[in-house]
Amino acid sequence: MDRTVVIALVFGILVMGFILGTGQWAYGNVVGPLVNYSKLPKLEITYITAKEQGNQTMLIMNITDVDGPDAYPASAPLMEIYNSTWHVYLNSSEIANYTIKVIQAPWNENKKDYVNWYTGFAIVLGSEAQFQMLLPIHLSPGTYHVKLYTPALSEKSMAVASFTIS
Amino acid sequence: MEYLFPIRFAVGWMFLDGGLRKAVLKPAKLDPNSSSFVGGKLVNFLPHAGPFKPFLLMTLENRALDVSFLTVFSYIEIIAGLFLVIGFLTRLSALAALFMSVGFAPAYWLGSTCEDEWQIGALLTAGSVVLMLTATGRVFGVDSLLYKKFGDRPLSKRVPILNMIKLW
Repeated sequence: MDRTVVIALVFGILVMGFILGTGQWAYGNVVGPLVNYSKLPKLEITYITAKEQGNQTMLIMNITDVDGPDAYPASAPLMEIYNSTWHVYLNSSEIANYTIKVIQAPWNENKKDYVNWYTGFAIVLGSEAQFQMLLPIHLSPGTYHVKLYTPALSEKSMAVASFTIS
Repeated sequence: MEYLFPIRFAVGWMFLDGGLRKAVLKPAKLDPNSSSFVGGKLVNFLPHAGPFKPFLLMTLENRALDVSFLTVFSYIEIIAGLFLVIGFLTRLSALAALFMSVGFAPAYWLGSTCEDEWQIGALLTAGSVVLMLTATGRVFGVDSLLYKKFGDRPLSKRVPILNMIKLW
């Protein structure tokens, strides 16, 4: 076979494999299932703990954004703390007011995660931060859940995590 | 061969434009103290970067490496892009373009309106391979002069792999 044909076939097959392989990996567009991870944000609570401080509760959460667009941060303007018999909602102003410290992950670069009174938590895609909140709530011993509400997401896609007060 | 000029210009301009935007038109993009610093974009790639994630994390957690990497990458974009546009050292420049096209695979999953980054990467990869194999700079390019004067020249005549990488 002509050398040019062999080279063309080899590179042609390599490029085909690369395009089909990366397309399947990123979007599932060869054999499915179709995905697009950068359409909707998805917050995750990767660590959570809480302890009583007098009549208040110190809640520490690591939050990251693993899906969604890269142009602007994901937000969670509403937060719910609940167990089987009780619950409380914290709105964006309360989230901002009760957050006393934000520690950025070492890879966060120039785009920082933050809280403010109108978005609540704001998390840049791929970044992670620890939010330390001093809540003016006394929690009796037991297991509680935290849910972060993100606009435009269905309830099953909200970030949820559990902690125990002993 | 003449019909390949639009592809050579398109692939070259994509890289030249990308490099110029960072290094010349808005230098703040390469300033680590600026809010426009493009290092922040690497953070966005992390969640679905797959096998590239450890390298990205290592780069992001080492500030000097991050800044150096992005600066060097931007200048290679400018040089390879410009050379492709004018058809100078086209095959070597196309090889650099190929590495860069494949190299931003960690970002392929990003595309909130369509499959943006993957489509760009796939087309630039295919385009770079075509330019590298066909030596398009020998038509409508500076390489036509080099080819007439020096003939076919590899990166090195002695080193086995490098002698397969042609300059123009």
